[in-house]
Amino acid sequence: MESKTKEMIFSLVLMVFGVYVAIEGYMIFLRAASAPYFITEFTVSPGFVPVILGVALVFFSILHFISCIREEGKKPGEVIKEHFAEAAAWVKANKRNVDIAFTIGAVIIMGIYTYVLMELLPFWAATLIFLLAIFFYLRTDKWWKNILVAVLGVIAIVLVFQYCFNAALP
Amino acid sequence: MALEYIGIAFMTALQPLNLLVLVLSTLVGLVMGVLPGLSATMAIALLTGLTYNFPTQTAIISLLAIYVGAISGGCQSAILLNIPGTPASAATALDGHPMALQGKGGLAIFIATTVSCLGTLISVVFVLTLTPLLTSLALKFTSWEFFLLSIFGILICGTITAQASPVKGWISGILGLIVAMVGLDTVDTIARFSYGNVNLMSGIQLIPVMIGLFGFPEIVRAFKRHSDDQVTKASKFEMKQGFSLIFRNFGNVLRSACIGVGVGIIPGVGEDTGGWLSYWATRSLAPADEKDSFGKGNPKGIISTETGNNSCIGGAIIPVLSLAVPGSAPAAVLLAAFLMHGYRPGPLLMTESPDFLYNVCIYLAFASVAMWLIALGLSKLTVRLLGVNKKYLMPIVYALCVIGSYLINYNLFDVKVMFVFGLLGIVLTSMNFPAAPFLLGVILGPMLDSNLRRALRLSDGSFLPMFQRPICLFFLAFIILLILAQLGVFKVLKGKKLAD
Repeated sequence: MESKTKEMIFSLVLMVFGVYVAIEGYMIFLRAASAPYFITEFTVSPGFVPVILGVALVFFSILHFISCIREEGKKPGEVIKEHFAEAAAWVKANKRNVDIAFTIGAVIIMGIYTYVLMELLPFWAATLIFLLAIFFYLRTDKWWKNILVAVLGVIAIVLVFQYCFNAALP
Repeated sequence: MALEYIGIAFMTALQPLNLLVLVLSTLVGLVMGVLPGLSATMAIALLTGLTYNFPTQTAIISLLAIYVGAISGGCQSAILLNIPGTPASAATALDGHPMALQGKGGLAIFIATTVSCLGTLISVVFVLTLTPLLTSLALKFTSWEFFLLSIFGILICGTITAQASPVKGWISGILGLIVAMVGLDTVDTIARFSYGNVNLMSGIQLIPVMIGLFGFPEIVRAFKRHSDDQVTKASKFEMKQGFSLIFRNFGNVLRSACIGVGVGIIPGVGEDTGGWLSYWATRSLAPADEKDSFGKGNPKGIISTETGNNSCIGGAIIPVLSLAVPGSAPAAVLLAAFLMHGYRPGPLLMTESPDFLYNVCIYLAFASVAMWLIALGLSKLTVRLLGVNKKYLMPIVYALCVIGSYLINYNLFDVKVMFVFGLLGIVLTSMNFPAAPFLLGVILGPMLDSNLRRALRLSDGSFLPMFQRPICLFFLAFIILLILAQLGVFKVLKGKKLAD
């Protein structure tokens, strides 16, 4: 996908996010204005800076959006249509992209390690399982080398942090 | 009297036990600086407890050596892996990593390490001589100045890092500022963007954000099945070429050191800002035909950032000694460590312990020289990292990132935060949005928010006092000119004038 197309879509997302931040900032002001805080002055309210940041984000996102759709000899509407058509074509073409799917698979393994294994197991066990899983998934090298590096890696990390730096690992 | 104190400090540092502690502490600091996610703050915090039973002078030597080592060590992973070991070395990756990709990793590390040493040594001279003068200037900063300084820092960082489109850099900075708003606000302790979650109420920690934004995309990139495997050739140090480059850029070294010390002395603005500001100054002053080479492996970029961030060490120590106000986050931990070892930094320090200033200066100088020698030896090992299969290295680096995130609060929530910001880092990278302004936004967000609201509260909601202060007017003029210049307003005006 062309860089301008990606950035145009991203600037739209940022605009929506900016609007959300500004609205949420205003809600914080309303909450702070009621009991038990009674901060009724908007400029000293905790919602003031989020509102300013939300508005600034929308403003700069609009500037960026304009820079993405500015093309000589073409109307903005035409350029926007072209960018959306290109994005749709890219999604269609890359539905079965092996490289993207492979990378997403690796990120999922990292996610499982972070959100599941770390919660359930001690650090050394979770890390050993993660390293073995990712080395085999990535087909890094021969199986015995993968196991050796994973085991030695975990031992080194635990030795350095738990015993040398005296840090308590999860 | 001063010479006597310096002589005594010199002899103390040369005692065998102290020399051994100096070497070991510098090594530990360097290793922690090299490892992504382990910041200088964390290094000092983790090891303060270990120095509790040390003799006082030995403990002070150890803590200062760790500080110098950790700030300097961050450059090695920034250059070799494009993952800054500490936030202070984020700017070093801009030119350092492209140099490593060109097969000049050894030269880049040599330059970075040598100017780091020089930066610290120059800052020691400032600590000794300019402490009273610089402290009086920093004392003139009120909430308005701190607020404008935060905006100024983010704008500069955004402009530098998103060269083709500064708006992208500024958007990235605003996103960082929004992240910094999460949690209980520092003025009224009202929860913002927390959605009833206790972990979110305590705010988003800086280190997990930093690791996620910078480390995660690099790790995931190595996982691609058909990765372009930019394995850089391990290169020699090229000491002669390195010294020659530094000698030719000595003006740059001096300027960056002055900027670093100036930034360091301002409370709350740390080594990272010092590095970025020095980089920005060097790039701005470079000839027009050379400007494009920045970010593509220009050694001048490394020289300015590493001198800038290391000279911040001395700068940050100046307010610690004279006002008991830390100039940066690591200096804050250092202040606590000084107190733990029986010193009371502040206006009475020179009356109560007049030798302490000279001790700190001499120990800093020793630590910087030790850092230079050890870092060069250590880098021979780190340069070899380039040859290691990244599919082995990066999962292990991810495990280190997990530990780095966890050790901040011993809370698994921070590890999850790191993962989320890692995904955001991938999005930002793929959209060509720089991550550095985002990080600076997270760092400066609390300072911006609390100072603006404190200033407004004192002025009953009026912005008028901001326009009545000379330093504020300087910052305001600079901010407006920077925005107008980057949006091309002056070019349009110039074009109209020519057309007329």
